[in-house]
Amino acid sequence: MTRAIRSELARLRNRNFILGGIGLMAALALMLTTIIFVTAGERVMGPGEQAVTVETLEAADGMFVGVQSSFSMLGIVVLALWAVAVTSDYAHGLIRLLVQAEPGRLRLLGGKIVALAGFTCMASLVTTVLLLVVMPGIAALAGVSTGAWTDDLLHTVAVGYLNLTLAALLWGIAGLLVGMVTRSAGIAIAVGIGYLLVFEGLLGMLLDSASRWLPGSSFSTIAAGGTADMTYGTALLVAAAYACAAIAVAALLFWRRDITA
Amino acid sequence: MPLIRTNKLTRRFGHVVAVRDLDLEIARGGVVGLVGPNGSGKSTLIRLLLGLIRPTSGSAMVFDAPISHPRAYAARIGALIESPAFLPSLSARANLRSLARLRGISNARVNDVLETVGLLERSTEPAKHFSLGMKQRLGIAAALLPDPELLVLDEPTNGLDPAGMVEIRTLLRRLGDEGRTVIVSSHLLSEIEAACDTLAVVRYGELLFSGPLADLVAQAGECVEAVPEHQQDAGRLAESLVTRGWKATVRGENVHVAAPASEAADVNRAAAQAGITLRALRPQEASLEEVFLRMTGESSGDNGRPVGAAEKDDEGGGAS
Repeated sequence: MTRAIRSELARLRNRNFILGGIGLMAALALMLTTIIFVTAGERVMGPGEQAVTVETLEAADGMFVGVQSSFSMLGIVVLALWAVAVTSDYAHGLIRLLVQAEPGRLRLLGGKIVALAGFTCMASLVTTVLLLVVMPGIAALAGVSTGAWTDDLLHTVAVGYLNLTLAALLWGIAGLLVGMVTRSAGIAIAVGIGYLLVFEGLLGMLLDSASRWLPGSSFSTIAAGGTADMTYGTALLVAAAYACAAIAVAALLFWRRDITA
Repeated sequence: MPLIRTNKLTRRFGHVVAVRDLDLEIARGGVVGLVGPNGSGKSTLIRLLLGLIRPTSGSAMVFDAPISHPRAYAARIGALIESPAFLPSLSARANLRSLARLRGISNARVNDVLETVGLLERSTEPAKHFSLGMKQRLGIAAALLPDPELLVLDEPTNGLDPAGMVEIRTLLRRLGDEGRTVIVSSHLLSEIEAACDTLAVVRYGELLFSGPLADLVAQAGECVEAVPEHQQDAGRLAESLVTRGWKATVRGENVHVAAPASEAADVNRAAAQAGITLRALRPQEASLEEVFLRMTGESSGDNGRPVGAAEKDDEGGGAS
């Protein structure tokens, strides 16, 4: 599988993909966090949303609160990146060259997942570093005290990075699945956004208690490091089950499907 | 032992049978042409052999391994399937490196194949800036990467200018002469005729012919081209010859008669008896194109339909 990983990494080294992917994720994280800081305690919260108070932002993990409370938007970006990486192989007909060169389709898929996971870890790292560098300034502008941020900073940053990365990887795996099912980047992204903003949102309004078990909610719970509705451990188990199911379905589809692109 | 052997190989897509009970053997070495009209099953056959799709029934062996286990022979095959496939934003070199890594091939080999297809100088340009012919060369370079024993090229001269076509033809011949097996699928029969030693003709997924090119042309026999003095007599002349037992086809103002040169005088006499004066009467050897069109029942686009067949079809009696 090492060859498949190296081959996928060579394709991901595409400048547009790196700048578009990492840049978009980091910029969006910064923008969302800034909005949260500037409007803390003022925003009208939607159904299921928890109010972000100034006290929350001033806590030790305050710099990550913005990302955590609006993680689903970042999740859509990661979903789109993974979906594009999968569907571009079909769109350009590259898939027939790849499968001809490496008929072990599960190896190919495994290589793609590992390479994209590496890329996602890198994007999360850049986002975390950016938050670390920029957020004290934004907090000062928003009048949020950052005194507690330096208490056990290393641990806070490590946990924040880990949760951000895990949640991003889970959204990425969702993108892998919709990309593999639809084989079209546009449709895959539309399905992802439609599911998050429409389907899961509506279910959240109708079935408030059950909605926490849905994929998007459990991924967001991981990003937040656990919530009052669901513990971190439970969210990890639920999300792991979704991830395993998504990878299994994607692998089965790829293994069985004719390469006619 | 043949390099490729199929046994009743069949592939259906819903109700459509793309490849039907195909029994084909391809020997090692040389350049093999795979020809057939559009939709005849050529690409499906190639995809089956490369393990991209699975057969509905039947079996096939490539390098003595079943096509259900393409990993056993994938490293020995290079292929250009349908059209060159690359990430347009990556350079030619980066695209090839990505494929080389997947196959465990060194970067030095990437340079070799870029030089072979004449793209070394422009290898750092994004593939999206390449012309159709350059993309085609890049596709051939990708197929050559593994230094393959079997090279499968689908329409390799697509988009190439005449000089490029000659270069690719020369390359194919060279590869064939080196002991490799090259399978070329093409619509350009003149290219096939110039480059190939053997031929496999398919139509509606069935094998119509497989063997040396010379055998096919010889099998098709000679023909006589009759040119009536008045163009409007061509149809009447063809009908008259068909009633006398010849196979005759109207092509423009000429009538092609499937007959050896020794029967030219009989054709002339038959025309005279029908009250038609001939302006010219030329014995000809059938070209590959004529043989192909006759064999696949395709029209040449210039009114080339067998008169006898048309008459019987009109009556609902089937082909002659």
